[in-house]
Formats: sequence, structure tokens, C-alpha cells
Amino acid sequence: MTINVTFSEIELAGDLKSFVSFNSNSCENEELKKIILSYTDDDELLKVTKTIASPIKIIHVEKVTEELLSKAL
Amino acid sequence: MVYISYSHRIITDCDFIKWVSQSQQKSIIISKMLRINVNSKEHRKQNILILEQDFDELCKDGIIKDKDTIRGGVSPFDINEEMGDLADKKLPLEALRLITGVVLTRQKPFQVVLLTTKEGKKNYLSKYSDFLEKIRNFDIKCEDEALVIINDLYRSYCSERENSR
Repeated sequence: MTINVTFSEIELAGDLKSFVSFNSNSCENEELKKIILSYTDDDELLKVTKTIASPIKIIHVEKVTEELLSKAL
Repeated sequence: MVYISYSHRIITDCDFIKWVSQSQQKSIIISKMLRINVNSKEHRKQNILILEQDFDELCKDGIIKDKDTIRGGVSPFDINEEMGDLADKKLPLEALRLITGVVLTRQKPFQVVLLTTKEGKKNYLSKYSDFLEKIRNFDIKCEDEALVIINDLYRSYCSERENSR
């Protein structure tokens, strides 16, 4: 049976960078990994989309902006 | 990154989230709630809670449009998982929120606030005065006074962050 679940959650950039550093295959591609590791403010809030198909894989990251929040509620 | 031991844990009800959704300041309020939750030392991503049933209702009614983002600021909480199955007791949701608030006072920081509207507060106080009267570490705040609590917790994050630089 195939398992493939996609979910999003809010994370701190610093936590995400640590996660990516410790899990070499955690990003869908190298470019995404570079983007994540390039965040300079560890306290930046990010909306991170991940899949669990086997290990957790990050497929999308975006900054939490006022525009994102104004559409959320 | 700084992690904060906040002075209070928060539970919100449906009416409060609806009230926030109508506020011109909603983006600022949600961003503060996100910040409080994500940087909580003892309760990462769960310093501000909402009953799972309330969260589902707000999604169903279209008040919550992006549940992944809002879940970061108010984390759905299953009281039945914490307390055994309360579902058989057929308690009204407002009673479940109060029970949840009191249950949370068992854990650090031992101070819990329920955020609601003016009408909601009146309702809790009139229907459950006996229950609420004896509890010293659980409070109900509405609308602007609720925002004072959110602002206080957010300020503790800002001040800790400044100190860490």
C-alpha cells in the first residue's frame, strides 16, 4: 500500500535549517535546500509544505507574510 | 532563536476567532499568535489552543480559510484524548472549553486564560458561575482585554529576543 500524505505547518527558519542539515534527503531538490539554508534570520516564520511518502520531504517553503495571513482567516 | 516560558497558556473559542476574523487588525493578531505558539518553550506550537470541534466548525463555516496557517496560531486540542472519553457525557461545547482550561492548569505555567467575546464571557459567567468561582488560575478575557494578553505574551517574546542579541 502506498502512503503519500502532504501537509503544511508553520516553522521557525532556524529549526527548519537544522532539520535540513541533519537530514540530507529531506528536500525535494537541491535548489529548495539552498533557499532554506540561505535564510539569515533564524526567527523568520515560514509556512512549510511537506510530504510523508517514506521519510519527510520538504516540497515548498514560503515566508509568512501579511498577505498570507490576511487570506487565512 | 529564543524560546519563551510564557506567563499564560491560552484557549480560544469560536466566537473569539470570528471576532478576530472581522477585525481590521486580524493579520497582526494572527501573526502574534503564531509567534507566541512557535516560540513557546514548554508548549511548542501548543501555547494557544482551540477545541478540535471548534476548529472544525470554523473551517466548515468558512471562517478559517487556510487551516494549515491558522493551526500554527491556534492548535486544535482533543480533550477526549487527554481526559478519557468525555463524549458520552454529552457536555455542551462551552463546558468542554472550561474543562479544557482547568485541565491545562495542571501544567506549566499553571495559568490559563480563555479568550472569547463580550457576549461569550457574559454567557460563561452566568451559566457556570459556581464552577468558575473557585478557580484562581483560570480566567476569561474578552475582545480588547483578550488582545492585552496576546500583546503581553508577544512583548515577552520581543524583549527576550532583544536581550539575546
